[in-house]
Amino acid sequence: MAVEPGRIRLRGVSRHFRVIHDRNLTLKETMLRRRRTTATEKWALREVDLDVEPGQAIGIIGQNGSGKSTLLKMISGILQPTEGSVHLRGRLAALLELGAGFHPDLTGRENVYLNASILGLSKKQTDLHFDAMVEFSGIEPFIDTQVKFYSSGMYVRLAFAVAVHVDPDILLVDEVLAVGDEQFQRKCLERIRGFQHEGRTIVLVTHGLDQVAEFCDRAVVLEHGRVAADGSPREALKVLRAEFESTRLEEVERAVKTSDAPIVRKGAKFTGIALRTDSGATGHPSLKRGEGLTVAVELEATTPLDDWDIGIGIATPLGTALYGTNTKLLGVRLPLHVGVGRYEFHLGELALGEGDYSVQASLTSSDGTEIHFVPQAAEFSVEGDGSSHGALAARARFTVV
Amino acid sequence: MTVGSFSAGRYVPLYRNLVRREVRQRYKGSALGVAWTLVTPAIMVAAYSLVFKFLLRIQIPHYALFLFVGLTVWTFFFGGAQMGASSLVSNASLVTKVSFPRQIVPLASMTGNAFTAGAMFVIALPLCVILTEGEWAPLVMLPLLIVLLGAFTVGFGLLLSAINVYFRDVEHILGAIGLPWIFVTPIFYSFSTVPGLTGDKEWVATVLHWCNPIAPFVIAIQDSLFWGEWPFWGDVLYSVVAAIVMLVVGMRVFRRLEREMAVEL
Repeated sequence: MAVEPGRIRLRGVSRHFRVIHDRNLTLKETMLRRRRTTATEKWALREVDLDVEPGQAIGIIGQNGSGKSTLLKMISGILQPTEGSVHLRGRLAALLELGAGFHPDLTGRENVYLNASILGLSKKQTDLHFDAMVEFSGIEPFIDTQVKFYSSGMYVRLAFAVAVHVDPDILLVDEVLAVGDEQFQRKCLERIRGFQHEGRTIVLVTHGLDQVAEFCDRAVVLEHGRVAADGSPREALKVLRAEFESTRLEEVERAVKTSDAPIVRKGAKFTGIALRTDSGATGHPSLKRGEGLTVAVELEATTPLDDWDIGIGIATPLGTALYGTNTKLLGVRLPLHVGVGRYEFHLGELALGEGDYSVQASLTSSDGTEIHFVPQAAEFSVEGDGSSHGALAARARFTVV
Repeated sequence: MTVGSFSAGRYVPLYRNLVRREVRQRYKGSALGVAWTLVTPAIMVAAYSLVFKFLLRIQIPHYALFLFVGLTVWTFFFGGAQMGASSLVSNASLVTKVSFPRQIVPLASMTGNAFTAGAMFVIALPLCVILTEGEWAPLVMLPLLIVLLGAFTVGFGLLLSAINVYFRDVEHILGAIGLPWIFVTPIFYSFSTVPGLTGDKEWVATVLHWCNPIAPFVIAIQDSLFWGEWPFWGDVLYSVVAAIVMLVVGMRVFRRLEREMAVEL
């Protein structure tokens, strides 16, 4: 089948694994207990069709175990599909693991040549890029030192420097961007963005949803080995977030079933946490841009609460804390309390971007010890106008000056 | 099913670099370095000469050289098999993370080993020419015999390397049979000079000669290099057939087992 350089075409790709419990590693074991091992059949990928145009930057996202890495290994040819076909053309560089093939006893220079040839570069081509690679890595003084003396940061820098200079038509990147210090990371991302401008095809597997939103013009969500969504990153991220949410709820349910002892030290706990928007919506309310939110907490103390504080916070579905406050920070001194009490925090003009958020609540003594903590007490979502992404909202304007 | 644009030429630099790495890592950090290539066989030759020539009275002229020729063949073959067998497992990180023809890994390991045997050969050749009394003409058989030995070794190494991915025992089995195998191979003696293999025990020599696939190779090379005689046609024919069969089997098996290697490692 004719496929132009940079194009990837997957048709009905499925990949089957036999997960063998207590695997036979030796001949003797196999002969002695041939039929006694148990194997679980598992489809890591199921009937995946995927067409990537040359020059497209596509993000593959999904929960752990959804088949992302398997898909990437399939595209790169490390694994063969059980069913279906994979077609692609052009030089492919797969950054599945940085520095695969680095040898500790060889010097940085020798490893650059070795690694470049693993990625498909001839000696002449490597000669041509060598200086650029070393400069990019920023470890010039150590290039003739054996790699075993490198710090892990230096190692990764050199490996990445080689990888981004191999001049691929298709670049596969698996979770390797979270390397090096921040400044080097930025350098790597810029380099990848440069690839994109040059019209190379990029396939990015990541848990960094921000990276997908930032880099990719298309995103595919995998769920249990199937394509659950394929489209603009915004749409795909929405699907993934919903998925995360349902997984989380399942886990919460399981946790409730298995443990009946919530974190309670003193005789006080939250008995209810509710949300209300300025426009009066309750339950799992949807917040309009700029609207305020009221968090109402109800608690019950069986022993007197002295010197205590209530705190609330807002987090993303992934658990990143975005905001937090408490009565101490607000300069409120709560009176001695016994029995049931109701309190309200009002958060005016929440500058949040489109997405789902959760509210947490905590009850602490003034010395900081926790009395009761509810990690995901309530949820709300924010409607956006599609003009931005990210958790933060701003009134953006653009002018030509 | 096609993955990427395949051209063998693209992988030549990788092969070359892997061979270089193989050779360097073997001697890096050792004081004698590459000299070990010759020190090890020299010690072996000295020790075995003492035992076989002076204690057991094997009647072969230039016994040390005879031994050295046999050890060269053995080092090439068995060293290659051992290096090849463990190559994929010890390069697991490469095999599971990068896509390229897997054959390169055992081939590079075996080539690295061939340098050791090559260095021994470079010493053995002039010594044989100068010291032994046979003809020079049979030396023309050497290139053919070396190619056949190479093909046989590559086939065997590919086979073992692929199987070793699934059954790690292969390495250990190989380590265990190495010593008995070298003793039943006519390297320390020739079949005609051992008292236990003459007269009514000649059938034992026949069995040892033809049931040990490496024996005809060793004998044919000893004939043309050490004895300066034309090798027996049966040995050459056996070598040709054994080399082709082993190479085909090795390549076939490798290709079959290649698909799932990344999963098993």
